[in-house]
Amino acid sequence: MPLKGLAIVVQHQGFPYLNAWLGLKQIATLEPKPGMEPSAAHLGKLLSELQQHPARMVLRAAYQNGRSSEWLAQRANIPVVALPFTVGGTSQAGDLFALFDDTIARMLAGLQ
Amino acid sequence: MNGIEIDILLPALLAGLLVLLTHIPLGIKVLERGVIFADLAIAQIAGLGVIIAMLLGFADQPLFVQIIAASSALCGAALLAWVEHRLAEVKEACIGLIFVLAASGGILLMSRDTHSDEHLRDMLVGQILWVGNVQLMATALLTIALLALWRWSHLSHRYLGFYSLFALAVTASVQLVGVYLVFASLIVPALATYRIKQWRKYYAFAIGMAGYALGLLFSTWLDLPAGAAIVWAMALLGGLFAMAMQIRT
Repeated sequence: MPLKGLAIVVQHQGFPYLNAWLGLKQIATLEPKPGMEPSAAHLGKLLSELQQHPARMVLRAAYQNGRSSEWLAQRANIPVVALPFTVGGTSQAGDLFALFDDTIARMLAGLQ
Repeated sequence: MNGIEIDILLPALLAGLLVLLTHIPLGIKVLERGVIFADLAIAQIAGLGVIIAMLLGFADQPLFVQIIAASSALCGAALLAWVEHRLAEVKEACIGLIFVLAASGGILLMSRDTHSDEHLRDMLVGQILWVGNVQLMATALLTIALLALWRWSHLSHRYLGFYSLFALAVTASVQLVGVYLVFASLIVPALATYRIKQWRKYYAFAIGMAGYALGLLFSTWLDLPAGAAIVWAMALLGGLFAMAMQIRT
């Protein structure tokens, strides 16, 4: 399983079940308080944390605005992976089975 | 302060510089004319245009969305120019009404669509720390064009010309730094210097820049949200400046 132990950053604290299921290693949260802009201090800590423990990708829910993930992706030079988050979140995630398939497929594509 | 922090703060400071370059002269005019809330009305109309673009299915074409936002803002500018020309004695009431109609019009349109509210919020609440290089470059080019038109054309002396420049500047800056910072950059420096006759723009610019710098330092040292910290830092500095000037005279 290529995703096991994968180091990730999440945009919002939104994927605890996914982390537990796939054994992902969450290094940091980009926006710890949803809807509240982060402080410069938080982003400073986050970037120095990533220097010591590099992550492979940023995860965000497809319905979220991608601006903060893109910001980190540019700086840390890692891809942003937008996950469906729920059935219907992406056009591929039509039912519960497709939700899991699409989530895995998008993360594997992000690894390439 | 280490290299990482400078790396985070520098783009935000540049964004502040770009916003102030256009908003200082605009803010002084806005204060003179008594149309303080025109920026909120324009930003909301631009947001309404973006909602319509989303509903028509153009969400994945950012350039087209920008064109729609700018065209909507220019329509709003035409409306405001007409109001100031024809309804001068009740213009503040009309501007307020236009703001509320644009905002609630957005709600009516969004009730048919689940995701466009996100886009509206993104339009209005740009967050200064996420500013990227592409956005800075695009805004820098627009700023140069607007300043050149302001300086060398007579657009700013006419109702429609003034509101058109204003609309384009506000549409860009709201997406760069958010509506609170746009309002503060427009009003605080102009208000703090309103009694100054000589070099007013330079004092105003210094207050604005110091506000951005101090606010970003507060955000780093005290772990505070950047945009809100800058608004308060700028207002504090503006207030101190106005008081110092009062004592001197």
